[in-house]
Amino acid sequence: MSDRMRPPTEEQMDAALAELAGRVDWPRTPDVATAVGTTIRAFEGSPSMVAPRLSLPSRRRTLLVIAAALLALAGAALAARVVIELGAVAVEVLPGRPTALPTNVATSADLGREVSLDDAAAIAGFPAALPAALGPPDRTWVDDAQVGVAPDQVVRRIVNAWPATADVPVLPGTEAGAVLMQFEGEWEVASKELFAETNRYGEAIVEGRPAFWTTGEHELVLFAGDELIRLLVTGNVLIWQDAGFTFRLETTLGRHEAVRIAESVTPAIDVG
Amino acid sequence: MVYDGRDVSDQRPVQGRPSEDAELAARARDGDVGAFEELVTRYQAVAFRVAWLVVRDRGEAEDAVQDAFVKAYFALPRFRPGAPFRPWVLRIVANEARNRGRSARRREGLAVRAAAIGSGDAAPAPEAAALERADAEVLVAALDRLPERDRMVVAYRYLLEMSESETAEALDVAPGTVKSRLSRALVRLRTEVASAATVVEVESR
Repeated sequence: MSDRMRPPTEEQMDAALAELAGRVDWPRTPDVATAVGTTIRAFEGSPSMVAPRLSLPSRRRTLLVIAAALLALAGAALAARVVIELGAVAVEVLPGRPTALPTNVATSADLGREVSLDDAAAIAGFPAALPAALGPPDRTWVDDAQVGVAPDQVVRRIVNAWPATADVPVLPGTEAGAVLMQFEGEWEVASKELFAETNRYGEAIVEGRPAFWTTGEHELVLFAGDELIRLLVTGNVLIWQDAGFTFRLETTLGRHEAVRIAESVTPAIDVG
Repeated sequence: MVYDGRDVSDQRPVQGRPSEDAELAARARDGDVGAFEELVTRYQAVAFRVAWLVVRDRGEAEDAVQDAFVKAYFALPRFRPGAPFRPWVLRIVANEARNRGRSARRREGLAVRAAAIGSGDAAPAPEAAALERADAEVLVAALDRLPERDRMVVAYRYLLEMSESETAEALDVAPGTVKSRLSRALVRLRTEVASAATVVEVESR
Protein backbone atom coordinates (compact mmCIF):
# COMPACT_ATOMS: atom_id res chain seq x y z
CA MET A 1 0.00 0.00 0.00
CA SER A 2 1.31 3.45 -0.83
CA ASP A 3 2.10 5.90 1.93
CA ARG A 4 1.56 8.79 -0.44
CA MET A 5 -1.15 11.16 0.69
CA ARG A 6 -3.69 12.65 -1.63
CA PRO A 7 -2.73 16.21 -2.65
CA PRO A 8 -4.84 18.97 -1.14
CA THR A 9 -7.68 20.18 -3.32
CA GLU A 10 -7.40 23.43 -5.24
CA GLU A 11 -9.71 25.10 -2.76
CA GLN A 12 -7.68 23.89 0.19
CA MET A 13 -4.47 25.09 -1.41
CA ASP A 14 -6.00 28.44 -2.24
CA ALA A 15 -7.16 28.89 1.35
CA ALA A 16 -3.84 27.74 2.79
CA LEU A 17 -1.86 30.17 0.65
CA ALA A 18 -4.20 33.03 1.48
CA GLU A 19 -3.73 32.22 5.16
CA LEU A 20 0.02 31.97 4.71
CA ALA A 21 0.26 35.51 3.33
CA GLY A 22 -0.32 36.93 6.80
CA ARG A 23 2.08 34.57 8.49
CA VAL A 24 5.28 34.80 6.48
CA ASP A 25 8.08 36.09 8.64
CA TRP A 26 9.70 38.41 6.12
CA PRO A 27 13.20 39.73 6.77
CA ARG A 28 13.16 43.30 7.98
CA THR A 29 13.02 45.87 5.23
CA PRO A 30 15.79 48.46 5.31
CA ASP A 31 14.94 52.06 4.57
CA VAL A 32 16.75 52.78 1.32
CA ALA A 33 14.84 55.93 0.33
CA THR A 34 17.53 58.31 1.60
CA ALA A 35 20.34 56.34 0.02
CA VAL A 36 18.48 56.22 -3.30
CA GLY A 37 17.91 59.99 -3.21
CA THR A 38 21.55 60.63 -2.31
CA THR A 39 22.78 58.46 -5.16
CA ILE A 40 20.47 60.11 -7.69
CA ARG A 41 21.54 63.59 -6.61
CA ALA A 42 25.19 62.57 -6.86
CA PHE A 43 24.71 61.43 -10.42
CA GLU A 44 22.69 64.46 -11.38
CA GLY A 45 25.20 66.79 -9.80
CA SER A 46 28.12 65.20 -11.60
CA PRO A 47 27.30 64.76 -15.25
CA SER A 48 30.73 63.39 -15.97
CA MET A 49 30.56 60.83 -13.20
CA VAL A 50 30.72 57.28 -14.45
CA ALA A 51 27.60 55.35 -13.58
CA PRO A 52 27.98 52.25 -11.43
CA ARG A 53 28.55 49.14 -13.41
CA LEU A 54 26.06 46.38 -13.45
CA SER A 55 26.60 43.63 -10.99
CA LEU A 56 28.49 41.18 -13.10
CA PRO A 57 29.63 38.08 -11.27
CA SER A 58 33.15 39.28 -11.75
CA ARG A 59 32.52 42.50 -9.92
CA ARG A 60 35.43 41.79 -7.62
CA ARG A 61 37.62 40.99 -10.53
CA THR A 62 41.32 41.50 -10.84
CA LEU A 63 42.60 43.13 -13.95
CA LEU A 64 45.24 41.02 -15.55
CA VAL A 65 46.75 41.21 -18.96
CA ILE A 66 46.21 38.09 -20.97
CA ALA A 67 49.82 37.03 -21.00
CA ALA A 68 50.10 37.24 -17.24
CA ALA A 69 46.83 35.42 -16.77
CA LEU A 70 47.84 32.64 -19.08
CA LEU A 71 51.11 32.37 -17.25
CA ALA A 72 49.15 31.90 -14.04
CA LEU A 73 46.96 29.31 -15.72
CA ALA A 74 50.03 27.39 -16.73
CA GLY A 75 50.85 26.91 -13.06
CA ALA A 76 50.62 23.36 -11.81
CA ALA A 77 47.93 24.02 -9.22
CA LEU A 78 45.11 26.33 -10.18
CA ALA A 79 43.96 27.04 -6.67
CA ALA A 80 42.29 30.38 -7.12
CA ARG A 81 40.12 31.89 -9.76
CA VAL A 82 41.62 34.03 -12.45
CA VAL A 83 39.81 36.71 -14.34
CA ILE A 84 40.87 37.97 -17.71
CA GLU A 85 39.33 41.12 -19.06
CA LEU A 86 39.30 41.51 -22.78
CA GLY A 87 37.29 44.58 -23.65
CA ALA A 88 33.61 43.82 -23.37
CA VAL A 89 34.16 40.22 -22.37
CA ALA A 90 35.44 38.95 -19.04
CA VAL A 91 36.64 35.40 -18.73
CA GLU A 92 36.67 33.79 -15.35
CA VAL A 93 38.64 30.61 -14.88
CA LEU A 94 37.81 28.50 -11.85
CA PRO A 95 39.38 25.39 -10.46
CA GLY A 96 37.60 22.05 -10.75
CA ARG A 97 34.61 21.34 -12.92
CA PRO A 98 31.19 23.02 -13.17
CA THR A 99 28.45 21.67 -10.95
CA ALA A 100 25.83 22.83 -13.45
CA LEU A 101 25.72 24.43 -16.85
CA PRO A 102 22.80 26.14 -18.53
CA THR A 103 21.01 23.85 -20.93
CA ASN A 104 19.93 26.42 -23.46
CA VAL A 105 22.14 27.41 -26.34
CA ALA A 106 21.56 30.84 -27.86
CA THR A 107 18.33 31.20 -29.76
CA SER A 108 17.40 34.07 -32.02
CA ALA A 109 15.37 35.60 -29.20
CA ASP A 110 18.45 35.69 -26.97
CA LEU A 111 20.50 37.51 -29.56
CA GLY A 112 18.26 40.56 -29.85
CA ARG A 113 16.23 42.00 -32.67
CA GLU A 114 16.71 40.27 -35.98
CA VAL A 115 17.31 42.84 -38.69
CA SER A 116 19.07 43.34 -42.00
CA LEU A 117 22.75 44.26 -42.04
CA ASP A 118 21.90 47.81 -43.07
CA ASP A 119 19.33 48.18 -40.33
CA ALA A 120 21.79 46.77 -37.81
CA ALA A 121 24.29 49.47 -38.75
CA ALA A 122 21.64 52.18 -38.53
CA ILE A 123 20.40 51.01 -35.14
CA ALA A 124 23.80 50.30 -33.62
CA GLY A 125 25.44 53.39 -35.02
CA PHE A 126 28.32 51.43 -36.54
CA PRO A 127 28.60 48.93 -39.39
CA ALA A 128 29.00 45.25 -38.75
CA ALA A 129 32.56 44.10 -39.24
CA LEU A 130 32.45 41.03 -41.45
CA PRO A 131 35.05 38.32 -42.06
CA ALA A 132 35.66 37.95 -45.77
CA ALA A 133 36.55 34.30 -45.16
CA LEU A 134 32.91 33.55 -44.33
CA GLY A 135 31.15 35.63 -46.96
CA PRO A 136 27.88 37.42 -46.20
CA PRO A 137 26.02 36.30 -43.05
CA ASP A 138 22.54 34.85 -43.37
CA ARG A 139 21.19 36.27 -40.11
CA THR A 140 21.88 39.47 -38.18
CA TRP A 141 20.70 40.68 -34.79
CA VAL A 142 21.18 43.91 -32.92
CA ASP A 143 20.77 44.50 -29.21
CA ASP A 144 22.07 46.68 -26.43
CA ALA A 145 23.02 46.31 -22.79
CA GLN A 146 22.27 48.92 -20.17
CA VAL A 147 25.63 49.50 -18.50
CA GLY A 148 24.76 52.48 -16.36
CA VAL A 149 21.78 54.08 -14.78
CA ALA A 150 21.41 56.88 -17.31
CA PRO A 151 19.23 56.06 -20.33
CA ASP A 152 22.02 56.71 -22.80
CA GLN A 153 24.52 54.44 -21.09
CA VAL A 154 24.08 51.49 -23.34
CA VAL A 155 26.51 49.27 -25.20
CA ARG A 156 25.33 48.10 -28.58
CA ARG A 157 26.02 44.72 -30.04
CA ILE A 158 25.69 43.26 -33.50
CA VAL A 159 25.59 39.51 -33.91
CA ASN A 160 25.98 37.79 -37.27
CA ALA A 161 25.51 34.10 -38.02
CA TRP A 162 26.58 32.02 -40.97
CA PRO A 163 25.02 28.74 -42.01
CA ALA A 164 26.91 25.52 -41.48
CA THR A 165 28.86 24.26 -44.50
CA ALA A 166 31.30 21.46 -45.14
CA ASP A 167 34.12 23.84 -44.20
CA VAL A 168 32.36 25.38 -41.23
CA PRO A 169 30.50 22.53 -39.49
CA VAL A 170 27.37 23.12 -37.47
CA LEU A 171 27.67 24.30 -33.89
CA PRO A 172 26.01 21.62 -31.72
CA GLY A 173 22.51 22.60 -30.70
CA THR A 174 22.25 25.35 -33.31
CA GLU A 175 21.72 25.68 -37.04
CA ALA A 176 24.70 27.95 -37.52
CA GLY A 177 28.26 27.16 -38.44
CA ALA A 178 29.72 30.41 -37.14
CA VAL A 179 28.50 33.21 -34.89
CA LEU A 180 30.35 36.50 -34.57
CA MET A 181 29.44 38.93 -31.80
CA GLN A 182 30.70 42.49 -32.09
CA PHE A 183 30.57 44.58 -28.94
CA GLU A 184 31.03 48.30 -28.95
CA GLY A 185 33.52 49.86 -26.55
CA GLU A 186 35.12 48.63 -23.36
CA TRP A 187 32.18 48.10 -21.04
CA GLU A 188 32.00 44.59 -19.71
CA VAL A 189 28.76 43.23 -21.12
CA ALA A 190 29.51 39.54 -21.35
CA SER A 191 31.30 37.08 -19.14
CA LYS A 192 32.18 33.47 -19.43
CA GLU A 193 33.04 30.95 -16.80
CA LEU A 194 35.62 28.31 -17.59
CA PHE A 195 36.72 25.41 -15.44
CA ALA A 196 40.23 24.08 -15.25
CA GLU A 197 39.17 20.45 -15.56
CA THR A 198 36.73 20.75 -18.43
CA ASN A 199 37.91 23.61 -20.60
CA ARG A 200 41.06 24.31 -22.56
CA TYR A 201 42.22 27.87 -22.99
CA GLY A 202 45.19 29.67 -24.28
CA GLU A 203 46.56 32.62 -26.10
CA ALA A 204 46.07 33.37 -29.75
CA ILE A 205 47.42 36.19 -31.86
CA VAL A 206 45.11 38.11 -34.16
CA GLU A 207 46.78 40.74 -36.33
CA GLY A 208 49.74 40.75 -33.97
CA ARG A 209 47.63 41.39 -30.89
CA PRO A 210 46.98 38.94 -28.07
CA ALA A 211 43.62 37.22 -28.17
CA PHE A 212 41.95 34.56 -26.07
CA TRP A 213 41.06 31.07 -27.20
CA THR A 214 38.98 28.44 -25.46
CA THR A 215 37.39 25.10 -26.17
CA GLY A 216 34.92 22.95 -24.24
CA GLU A 217 31.36 23.56 -23.15
CA HIS A 218 30.96 26.51 -20.84
CA GLU A 219 28.57 29.20 -19.74
CA LEU A 220 28.28 32.58 -21.40
CA VAL A 221 26.50 35.31 -19.48
CA LEU A 222 25.25 38.00 -21.78
CA PHE A 223 23.71 41.34 -20.93
CA ALA A 224 20.59 42.09 -22.91
CA GLY A 225 18.86 45.31 -21.98
CA ASP A 226 19.13 45.25 -18.21
CA GLU A 227 18.84 41.50 -17.96
CA LEU A 228 21.34 38.68 -17.81
CA ILE A 229 21.01 35.75 -20.15
CA ARG A 230 22.86 32.55 -19.37
CA LEU A 231 23.73 30.41 -22.35
CA LEU A 232 25.48 27.15 -22.98
CA VAL A 233 28.39 27.54 -25.38
CA THR A 234 29.05 24.39 -27.39
CA GLY A 235 31.70 25.64 -29.81
CA ASN A 236 35.27 26.90 -29.70
CA VAL A 237 35.62 30.60 -29.04
CA LEU A 238 38.12 33.21 -30.10
CA ILE A 239 37.96 36.66 -28.49
CA TRP A 240 39.92 39.63 -29.74
CA GLN A 241 39.80 43.39 -29.87
CA ASP A 242 40.12 45.73 -32.80
CA ALA A 243 39.41 49.41 -33.37
CA GLY A 244 37.41 49.93 -30.21
CA PHE A 245 35.35 46.77 -30.58
CA THR A 246 35.50 43.40 -28.90
CA PHE A 247 34.81 40.41 -31.12
CA ARG A 248 33.74 36.94 -30.11
CA LEU A 249 33.78 34.27 -32.80
CA GLU A 250 32.25 30.87 -32.10
CA THR A 251 32.80 27.93 -34.45
CA THR A 252 33.73 24.28 -34.22
CA LEU A 253 37.00 25.02 -36.00
CA GLY A 254 40.46 24.87 -34.53
CA ARG A 255 42.46 27.85 -33.38
CA HIS A 256 44.39 28.30 -36.59
CA GLU A 257 41.23 28.40 -38.72
CA ALA A 258 39.46 30.68 -36.28
CA VAL A 259 42.36 33.13 -36.35
CA ARG A 260 42.34 33.03 -40.14
CA ILE A 261 38.65 34.02 -40.10
CA ALA A 262 39.30 36.71 -37.51
CA GLU A 263 42.09 38.19 -39.58
CA SER A 264 39.83 38.39 -42.60
CA VAL A 265 37.46 40.76 -40.81
CA THR A 266 37.23 44.01 -42.68
CA PRO A 267 38.58 46.84 -40.54
CA ALA A 268 35.97 48.23 -38.22
CA ILE A 269 35.45 51.93 -37.71
CA ASP A 270 37.31 53.07 -34.64
CA VAL A 271 34.85 54.08 -31.94
CA GLY A 272 37.51 54.50 -29.29
CA MET B 1 24.89 50.58 2.74
CA VAL B 2 23.73 54.07 3.44
CA TYR B 3 20.44 53.51 5.11
CA ASP B 4 19.66 54.44 8.65
CA GLY B 5 18.93 50.93 9.88
CA ARG B 6 15.21 51.44 10.40
CA ASP B 7 12.94 48.52 9.68
CA VAL B 8 10.22 49.84 7.42
CA SER B 9 8.58 46.50 6.76
CA ASP B 10 5.29 47.59 8.18
CA GLN B 11 5.06 50.84 6.32
CA ARG B 12 1.99 50.96 4.19
CA PRO B 13 0.59 51.07 1.70
CA VAL B 14 1.91 48.04 -0.09
CA GLN B 15 -1.09 48.56 -2.35
CA GLY B 16 -0.74 51.43 -4.75
CA ARG B 17 -2.50 54.76 -4.82
CA PRO B 18 -2.46 55.16 -8.57
CA SER B 19 -3.39 58.79 -8.96
CA GLU B 20 -0.86 59.94 -6.39
CA ASP B 21 1.73 57.60 -7.83
CA ALA B 22 1.20 59.09 -11.26
CA GLU B 23 1.59 62.60 -9.89
CA LEU B 24 4.73 61.69 -7.97
CA ALA B 25 6.18 59.88 -10.98
CA ALA B 26 5.48 62.90 -13.18
CA ARG B 27 7.18 65.21 -10.69
CA ALA B 28 10.12 62.82 -10.42
CA ARG B 29 10.43 62.69 -14.18
CA ASP B 30 10.70 66.47 -14.11
CA GLY B 31 13.63 66.18 -11.72
CA ASP B 32 11.95 66.26 -8.30
CA VAL B 33 14.10 63.72 -6.43
CA GLY B 34 12.03 64.25 -3.28
CA ALA B 35 8.94 63.02 -5.10
CA PHE B 36 10.83 59.95 -6.15
CA GLU B 37 12.01 59.36 -2.60
CA GLU B 38 8.36 59.31 -1.60
CA LEU B 39 7.67 56.62 -4.17
CA VAL B 40 10.65 54.67 -2.83
CA THR B 41 9.29 54.96 0.70
CA ARG B 42 5.94 53.65 -0.48
CA TYR B 43 7.23 50.65 -2.34
CA GLN B 44 10.51 49.69 -0.74
CA ALA B 45 8.90 47.08 1.50
CA VAL B 46 7.27 45.17 -1.33
CA ALA B 47 10.33 45.76 -3.50
CA PHE B 48 12.60 44.32 -0.84
CA ARG B 49 10.39 41.26 -0.53
CA VAL B 50 10.42 40.71 -4.27
CA ALA B 51 14.21 41.02 -4.35
CA TRP B 52 14.60 38.76 -1.37
CA LEU B 53 12.33 36.13 -2.92
CA VAL B 54 14.70 36.05 -5.88
CA VAL B 55 18.11 36.16 -4.19
CA ARG B 56 17.24 34.84 -0.69
CA ASP B 57 19.98 36.93 0.83
CA ARG B 58 19.20 40.09 2.76
CA GLY B 59 22.35 41.96 1.79
CA GLU B 60 22.01 41.18 -1.88
CA ALA B 61 18.31 42.01 -1.78
CA GLU B 62 19.02 45.35 -0.19
CA ASP B 63 21.67 46.24 -2.77
CA ALA B 64 19.37 45.10 -5.55
CA VAL B 65 16.50 47.27 -4.31
CA GLN B 66 18.67 50.34 -3.94
CA ASP B 67 20.24 49.98 -7.37
CA ALA B 68 16.91 49.14 -8.96
CA PHE B 69 15.27 52.30 -7.64
CA VAL B 70 18.17 54.40 -8.91
CA LYS B 71 17.85 52.77 -12.31
CA ALA B 72 14.09 53.27 -12.23
CA TYR B 73 14.56 56.99 -11.62
CA PHE B 74 16.77 57.35 -14.67
CA ALA B 75 14.38 55.17 -16.65
CA LEU B 76 11.38 57.39 -15.84
CA PRO B 77 11.43 59.01 -19.29
CA ARG B 78 10.53 55.55 -20.61
CA PHE B 79 7.74 55.06 -18.06
CA ARG B 80 4.36 55.41 -19.72
CA PRO B 81 2.38 58.23 -18.04
CA GLY B 82 -0.72 56.86 -16.37
CA ALA B 83 0.61 53.31 -16.17
CA PRO B 84 0.72 51.74 -12.71
CA PHE B 85 4.04 52.51 -11.07
CA ARG B 86 4.26 49.61 -8.66
CA PRO B 87 4.45 46.67 -11.10
CA TRP B 88 6.72 48.68 -13.36
CA VAL B 89 9.25 49.26 -10.61
CA LEU B 90 8.89 45.72 -9.29
CA ARG B 91 9.88 44.39 -12.69
CA ILE B 92 13.07 46.46 -12.53
CA VAL B 93 13.68 45.21 -8.99
CA ALA B 94 13.19 41.57 -9.96
CA ASN B 95 15.54 41.95 -12.93
CA GLU B 96 18.18 43.57 -10.79
CA ALA B 97 17.82 40.86 -8.17
CA ARG B 98 18.04 38.14 -10.78
CA ASN B 99 21.24 39.68 -12.09
CA ARG B 100 22.69 39.38 -8.62
CA GLY B 101 21.31 35.98 -7.77
CA ARG B 102 24.39 34.09 -8.77
CA SER B 103 26.64 35.89 -6.35
CA ALA B 104 24.42 35.44 -3.31
CA ARG B 105 26.47 34.03 -0.48
CA ARG B 106 23.73 31.92 1.03
CA ARG B 107 20.08 31.24 0.44
CA GLU B 108 17.72 32.01 3.26
CA GLY B 109 14.43 30.17 3.48
CA LEU B 110 10.95 31.49 3.99
CA ALA B 111 9.92 31.39 7.64
CA VAL B 112 6.53 31.35 9.28
CA ARG B 113 5.47 33.29 12.33
CA ALA B 114 3.50 31.60 15.07
CA ALA B 115 -0.20 32.40 14.71
CA ALA B 116 -1.33 35.18 16.98
CA ILE B 117 -2.90 33.66 20.05
CA GLY B 118 -6.05 35.57 20.74
CA SER B 119 -8.06 35.62 23.91
CA GLY B 120 -11.49 34.28 24.67
CA ASP B 121 -13.44 31.44 23.10
CA ALA B 122 -12.01 31.95 19.59
CA ALA B 123 -8.43 31.36 20.68
CA PRO B 124 -7.09 28.10 19.24
CA ALA B 125 -5.89 25.46 21.61
CA PRO B 126 -2.08 25.29 21.78
CA GLU B 127 -2.18 21.89 20.05
CA ALA B 128 -4.25 23.31 17.19
CA ALA B 129 -1.94 26.31 16.87
CA ALA B 130 1.06 24.00 16.70
CA LEU B 131 -0.62 21.92 14.00
CA GLU B 132 -1.46 25.03 12.00
CA ARG B 133 2.13 26.14 12.24
CA ALA B 134 3.37 22.74 11.12
CA ASP B 135 1.02 22.88 8.11
CA ALA B 136 2.26 26.35 7.23
CA GLU B 137 5.87 25.20 7.51
CA VAL B 138 5.19 22.27 5.20
CA LEU B 139 3.63 24.69 2.76
CA VAL B 140 6.53 27.18 2.76
CA ALA B 141 9.04 24.35 2.45
CA ALA B 142 7.13 23.07 -0.57
CA LEU B 143 7.01 26.58 -1.99
CA ASP B 144 10.76 26.88 -1.52
CA ARG B 145 11.31 23.75 -3.59
CA LEU B 146 9.44 25.10 -6.62
CA PRO B 147 11.45 26.39 -9.57
CA GLU B 148 11.87 30.16 -9.49
CA ARG B 149 9.30 30.82 -12.21
CA ASP B 150 6.63 28.94 -10.31
CA ARG B 151 7.66 30.25 -6.92
CA MET B 152 7.53 33.85 -8.06
CA VAL B 153 4.09 33.67 -9.62
CA VAL B 154 2.67 32.05 -6.47
CA ALA B 155 4.49 34.57 -4.27
CA TYR B 156 3.30 37.56 -6.29
CA ARG B 157 -0.31 36.43 -6.33
CA TYR B 158 -0.64 35.11 -2.79
CA LEU B 159 2.16 36.31 -0.52
CA LEU B 160 2.42 39.81 -1.97
CA GLU B 161 -1.29 39.87 -2.86
CA MET B 162 -0.76 41.36 -6.29
CA SER B 163 -3.54 41.33 -8.85
CA GLU B 164 -3.30 39.26 -11.98
CA SER B 165 -2.58 42.30 -14.15
CA GLU B 166 0.04 43.62 -11.72
CA THR B 167 1.68 40.20 -11.65
CA ALA B 168 1.71 40.11 -15.43
CA GLU B 169 3.32 43.55 -15.58
CA ALA B 170 5.85 42.70 -12.88
CA LEU B 171 6.81 39.44 -14.56
CA ASP B 172 6.70 41.06 -17.99
CA VAL B 173 4.35 38.41 -19.35
CA ALA B 174 0.81 38.40 -20.73
CA PRO B 175 -2.05 38.05 -18.22
CA GLY B 176 -2.93 34.72 -19.83
CA THR B 177 0.59 33.51 -19.07
CA VAL B 178 0.12 34.39 -15.41
CA LYS B 179 -3.02 32.26 -15.36
CA SER B 180 -1.40 29.24 -16.98
CA ARG B 181 1.84 29.56 -15.05
CA LEU B 182 -0.03 29.90 -11.76
CA SER B 183 -2.20 26.94 -12.56
CA ARG B 184 0.84 24.75 -13.26
CA ALA B 185 2.64 26.07 -10.20
CA LEU B 186 -0.30 25.23 -7.95
CA VAL B 187 -0.48 21.69 -9.30
CA ARG B 188 3.22 21.27 -8.53
CA LEU B 189 2.77 22.83 -5.13
CA ARG B 190 -0.11 20.52 -4.25
CA THR B 191 2.02 17.53 -5.22
CA GLU B 192 4.96 18.84 -3.21
CA VAL B 193 2.77 19.40 -0.16
CA ALA B 194 1.29 15.91 -0.40
CA SER B 195 4.77 14.45 -0.74
CA ALA B 196 6.12 16.40 2.23
CA ALA B 197 3.06 15.58 4.32
CA THR B 198 3.59 11.90 3.57
CA VAL B 199 7.12 12.08 4.88
CA VAL B 200 5.92 13.76 8.07
CA GLU B 201 3.20 11.14 8.44
CA VAL B 202 5.59 8.22 7.98
CA GLU B 203 8.19 9.73 10.30
CA SER B 204 5.62 10.27 13.04
CA ARG B 205 4.46 6.64 13.06
